[in-house]
Amino acid sequence: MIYPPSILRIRIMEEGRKKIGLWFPLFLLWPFMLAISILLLPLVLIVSLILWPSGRGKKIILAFPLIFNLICNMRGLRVDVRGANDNVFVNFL
Amino acid sequence: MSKDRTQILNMLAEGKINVEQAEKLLNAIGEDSPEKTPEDKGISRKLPKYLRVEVNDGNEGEQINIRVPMALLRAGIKLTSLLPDEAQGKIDGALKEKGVNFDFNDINPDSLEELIDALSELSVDVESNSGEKIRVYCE
Repeated sequence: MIYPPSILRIRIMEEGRKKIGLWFPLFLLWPFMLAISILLLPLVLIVSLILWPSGRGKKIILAFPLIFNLICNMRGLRVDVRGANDNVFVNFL
Repeated sequence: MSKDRTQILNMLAEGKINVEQAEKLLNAIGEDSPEKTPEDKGISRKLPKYLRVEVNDGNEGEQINIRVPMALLRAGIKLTSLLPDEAQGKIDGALKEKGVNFDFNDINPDSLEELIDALSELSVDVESNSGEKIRVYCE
């Protein structure tokens, strides 16, 4: 079972500005995401049925699990950019 | 030592065959049993979990350090299969303009696994005269 990232860690340091360090609890967004997904599901199904003859309907249905998979696999993604005076750090945990 | 090899060496020791015959037989056995891969020997090959990109500008001390999970690469490439054909055509065209002859339509689940597998052995080190270093590798 794979889960979406639980925490987003952001650190921004700019010269002459206050350092920003944030541990954003992404797990608090999970229920909202679930609710939005459930609400969107009927709409997605209707749109995919309408677009089925053009061949795009199947793609719309398949996009749902693939986007979820993409979000879940962001766990471990880390971007760290350090300049002489600036520093940006983003990490999905 | 395998049973066949032991038997051949015993036959040699007993004088039933000469050294030349024994050598031929041992060679024949060697050809029949190809070299075992690490998987055959029970050693599980460690798959890489992350693709790392490190850029270090030697002069200003600027550094870029990116760690991308391999699973995210897999998911991203799978998602490209859902792109509309027109968009894929535009992407392919743009890539060809840049000199990259790559067609996303050619990627299927098997070739994707091959690609990831090949990436596991990838290591690119570039170092310029000005001290700039670029390193791409898997871990």
